[in-house]
Amino acid sequence: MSDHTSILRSPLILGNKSYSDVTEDVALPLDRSPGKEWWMAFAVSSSMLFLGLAAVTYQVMTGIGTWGLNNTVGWAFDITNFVFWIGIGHAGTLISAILFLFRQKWRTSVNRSAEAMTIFAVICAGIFPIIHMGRPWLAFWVVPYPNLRGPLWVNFRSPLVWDMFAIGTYFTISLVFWFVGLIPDLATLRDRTASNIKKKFYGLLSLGWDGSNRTWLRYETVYLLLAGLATPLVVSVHTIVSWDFATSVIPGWHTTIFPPYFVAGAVFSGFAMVLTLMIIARTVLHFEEYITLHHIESMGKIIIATGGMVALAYLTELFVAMYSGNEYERFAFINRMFGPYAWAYWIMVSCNVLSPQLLWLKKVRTNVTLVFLLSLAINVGMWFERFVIITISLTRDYLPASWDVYAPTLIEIATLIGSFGLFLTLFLLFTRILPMIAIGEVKGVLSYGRASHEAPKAEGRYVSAAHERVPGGVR
Amino acid sequence: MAETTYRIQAPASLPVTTEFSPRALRMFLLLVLAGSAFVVSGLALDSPRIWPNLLLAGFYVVGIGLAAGFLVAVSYISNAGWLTAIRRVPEAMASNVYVGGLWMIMLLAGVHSLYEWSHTETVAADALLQKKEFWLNVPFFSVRTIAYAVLWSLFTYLLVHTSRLQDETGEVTLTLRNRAIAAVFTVVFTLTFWIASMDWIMSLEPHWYSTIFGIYNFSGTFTSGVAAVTVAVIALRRRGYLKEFVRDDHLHDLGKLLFAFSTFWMYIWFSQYLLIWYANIPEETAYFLKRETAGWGTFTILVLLFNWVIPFIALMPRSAKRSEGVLLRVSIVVLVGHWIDLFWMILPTFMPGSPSFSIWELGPIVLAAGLVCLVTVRSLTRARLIPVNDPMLLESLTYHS
Amino acid sequence: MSRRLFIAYFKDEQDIVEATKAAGAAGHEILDAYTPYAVHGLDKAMGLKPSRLPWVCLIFGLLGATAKLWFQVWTSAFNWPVNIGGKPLASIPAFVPVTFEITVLFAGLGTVGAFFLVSRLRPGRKPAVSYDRATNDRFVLVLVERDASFDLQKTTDLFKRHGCVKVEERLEAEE
Repeated sequence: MSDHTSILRSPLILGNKSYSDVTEDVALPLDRSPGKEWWMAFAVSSSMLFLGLAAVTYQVMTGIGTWGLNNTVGWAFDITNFVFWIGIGHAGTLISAILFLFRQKWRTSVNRSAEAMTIFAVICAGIFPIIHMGRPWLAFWVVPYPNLRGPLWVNFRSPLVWDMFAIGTYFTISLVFWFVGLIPDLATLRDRTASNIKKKFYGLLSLGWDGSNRTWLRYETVYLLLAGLATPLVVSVHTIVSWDFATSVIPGWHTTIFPPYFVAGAVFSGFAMVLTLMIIARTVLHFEEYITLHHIESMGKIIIATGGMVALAYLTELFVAMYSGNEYERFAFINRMFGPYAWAYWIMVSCNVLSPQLLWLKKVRTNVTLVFLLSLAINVGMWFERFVIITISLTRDYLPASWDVYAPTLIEIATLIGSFGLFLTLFLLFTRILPMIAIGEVKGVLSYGRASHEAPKAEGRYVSAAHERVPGGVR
Repeated sequence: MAETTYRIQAPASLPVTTEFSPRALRMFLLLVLAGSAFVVSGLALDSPRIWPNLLLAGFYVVGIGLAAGFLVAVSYISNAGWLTAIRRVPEAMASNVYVGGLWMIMLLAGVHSLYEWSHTETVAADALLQKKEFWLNVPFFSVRTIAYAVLWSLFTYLLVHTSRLQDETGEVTLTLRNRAIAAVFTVVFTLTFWIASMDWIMSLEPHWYSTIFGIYNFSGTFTSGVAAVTVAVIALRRRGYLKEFVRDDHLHDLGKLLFAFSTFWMYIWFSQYLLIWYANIPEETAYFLKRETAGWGTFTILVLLFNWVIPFIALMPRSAKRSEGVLLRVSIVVLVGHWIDLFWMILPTFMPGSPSFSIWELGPIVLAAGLVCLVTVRSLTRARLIPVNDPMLLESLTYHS
Repeated sequence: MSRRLFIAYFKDEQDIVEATKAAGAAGHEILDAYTPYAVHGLDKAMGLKPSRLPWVCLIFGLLGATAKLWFQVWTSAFNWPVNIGGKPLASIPAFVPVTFEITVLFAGLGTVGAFFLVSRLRPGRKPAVSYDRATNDRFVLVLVERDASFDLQKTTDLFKRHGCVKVEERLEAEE
C-alpha cells in the first residue's frame, strides 16, 4: 500500500468498474443457465472421466500387470502423471501466497481460479499413488495408526511416507486457504441472490459473515499467516516429491539440485496451466476487463523466470554429469539425449527451454493466441520432463544385463485421459457454483493505478511525478 | 508529511563530495593499508594459511557486490517500488564487484597453493582428475575467472550508471532501459555465478561434486548482501543521511528479505545435506564426513546457528523487523555467519581434522572489511543519496509495509 | 435495556476512513464498521488493536512440531525399532520433512479454528446484523448513541461532510 502510486503503474481492472459492477459481473455467470459451450465442454470432460474410471476399475480388478511396467522399470507412467499433476497444483498457492507476500496486486483477478485449480490438480495427483498400490482399499496403511500388528508403524525414514504427509497437508491447507478466501464472497452472493436454494447454500457456507471490520482485521491476519505458512509448504511439497527420487542412488535420480529444480519446474508448469485455463475463461465468460492483457503479460514474465530456472537446472545437471567424471552419471545423460527415448528428451527441451524464450518479446506476451499455444506447449513439455527423469533413468541403470524398455499400455493412457477428465469436470462445475474471481479482493484494488494513469505526458516522455512536485525543481 | 519530504529531497546545492567526513574515509583507508600489510607479511611467513583465507575474503567481497547488484536488478524487473528510496545504497555497494573481481583475478597467482588439480604431477597420478582436466586446468580457469569479473563489472556499471543518469535527465525511459539491462544482467549473473562458485570453491575438493552447489552459494551470498545493505542503511540513517527517507517500513521490508533468504539458505543447506546423507555414496559423503567429525562438527552447528537459527528466531516478530537495533544486530550475525559458512566450505580442505584459528585469518578480514567500507562510501559520494527523479520514488517514500 | 445505534452509509473507502477518524475525534463510541472488503487504515481509525492470532499460530506450530518429532522418534526407535537400510533408528534428518508438514498443518488449522471461534463464524449461522449493501458496495459505520448528549443533527452533519450518503437509526435489544 502506498499513498502515492507511480505513473509507471497502470490500472489492474479495466472499464472503470464500480464496486457493484464487480459483484454483478462475477456473479452473472452463476445466475445464467449454462450455455451450449459449457454443456459441450462438460460432455467431453465427463466422457474422459468415465473412460478413466473404466480403465481404473479394470486395472484394480485385474492388477498392475495391465500396465506396461516390468522388472527394470517399476515406476513409469503413473508416477509421471502424479508428479505432473502435483506440479500443476503449485501455481495456485504460489499466486495466492507468494505473490501476496510480494505485494503483486495483479494476483487478485486470478488467485481464486488458480487455487481451485490447485485443489483439483492435487486430487488428480493423489489418485495415482493410490491406484499404484494395487489394492487401493488398503491405502490407509500408509497412515501411522495403532494396530494389532505390533503395533507396526510406518517407516518414517521413507520418502514415500513423507510424501503422504506432504500431499495430505498441502491438500488440507490449500483447501482451508481457498475456503477462507471464499467466505466474504459467499456472503456477497448470499446477500444478492433472489433464489431461496442459493440463499441457503451460500448462507450455509458463508458462516454468517457480515463484513464487520473487527472480523476483517482478524481475517487479514489469518490470511497473512496462512500465506506465510503456505509459502514454505508449497516449496516443501515438491521438494519431498523430488526426494522420492533423489534419495536413491540411480544416476539421473540422485542429484542434489533436485529440490529447487523440481519446485521451479512445478511453478513453471502450474503457471502454464493457469494461463491455459484463464485464457479460455476470460474469452468464454467475458472476463477480459478483469483478466487483462497486463495479467497475461505478468504471468508470461513469471514463465520466463521459472522457465529460466528450469533451463539452468537442466544445464547444471548436464554440466556436472560431465564434470563429475563419473561414467554412470555421464551415461545417464548421454542416454537421455541420444538413447532410445531421445525424442522425449528433445520434446522436453524444445517445449520447456526454447519455446518460452519467445515470451521475451512483448509482441508475443501480449498476443493471447500465441501465449495460449505456448502454455499448451509447456504443459506438454513438463509432462515429458517427468517422463524423461523417471522412466529413462530407470530403463538403463548400472547393469546392462537388466536394461529394458518401457511403453505405456492403453489402460495407462486411458487413466491419464481420465485424470484430465476429472480435472476439467471439477473445474467446469466450479465455474457454475462459486465465484471465479475474488470479488472482495478485486474491489480492494479497483481504484489502483487509475489516477496515476492519467498523469501528464509531455512530448511522448513521462515527466517524473517526484520531479514536478519539488519546489523549484530538482536541477 | 509530503512538504518536509520534498524540501529535503532537493539537495541540488549540496556538494556531494563532502557528504562524508574525511575522517571516516581516512579510517577505512587505514584499515585497507593495515590489512594489506597484514596479508603481505602473511604471504611471506605462512603462505599456505593465508591463501585460503584470501580466497574466502575475495569471494566474500565480490559476493557482497554481486548480491547488491542483483537486488537492484530484481527491484527493477519486478517493479518493486519500495526499494527506490534506499536504492543508492545497494548501488554503491555493487561497486565491490570491481574490487572483488580484481581480487579474484589477483588470486590466480596462488592457484597452485589452493587447487590440487593445478599440479600436473597430481593429475598424472589421478584417473578421475584426468577426466576433469578439460575443465580444471590453469589456463582455462584463468580465462573463466577474468571473464566473470569483466562481465559482472560491465553489467554493474551499466545498471548503476543508468540509474544515476536519471538524476540528471529525469527521463522515465531510463527506468525502462534499466529494466532491460537488469533482465539481461539477471540471466548473465545466474549463468555465471553458479559455475564461478564451483570453480573457485567446489574445485578445492576436485573429487567431490554437488549440483546444488551454485544455488547454495547464491543463497548465502544474497543473504549476506541483504544484511550488508541493511547495515549500511541503518548506519547512514543513524548518521542522519537517510533519516527523512528511510522509514520503519523500509526496514521492515529489508527484515522480511533477510528472514526469507536466511530461511531459503537453510532450505538449500538441508536439501544438500539430506540427499548426501541419505544416499550415502562414498565419494559424496566424504565431504560431509570431513565436516562432521572432530572439531568441524561443532563448527557445522555454528554455521547453522549464525545463518539461520538466530536470524529466524530473532526476526519472527513483526516488531523485530521494524526495529533498527534488532535488525542491525541480526544483520551483523548474518555477515559473521556468511564468513563462517565460507570458512566451513573452504578451510577443511587445508586443515582436515579440526578447525584452528591463527592471527592470519585476521589479515584478509581486515583488508576485506576496509575495502568494502571504503568502496561503498566513496561510491555513495559520487551520486545523490536519493534517486531524485525516479518515477517510483514517491511511491517508495509513502508506502506502508 | 436497549441501545440506539446510529448508522451512516458511505460510498467510498476514503470517506469512511476519514469519517471514522472524525467520529473518534468527536468522542463518539464506534461500535463497528461493515465493509465489502478489508479497508486498510480503518482498523487504525477505529482504534482496534492488532489481532493476537499470530500467537495462536506460533503455539499450534510448536505443538505440532514437538508432538510429531517425539512421535517419530518413539515409533522408530523405541516402540518397534526396525533396522532399515542401516540408517540410525532415530534418524533426525529423515524426520525433518514430516515434522515440518505437521507443524504447518497444526499451525494452519489451529489459526483458522481460532479465527472462526473468536469471530463466531460457523456453518449455517445467520449474520448477526445486516446492513443494506454492506457486502456489495456500501461502507457502513455504526455508532452507539450513548447518552442524551448525542446530537443527531450534529452527527449527521459531520458525516455528510465526509460524503455520507444515508443515515439511519436503529434500536437494538441488548442482553
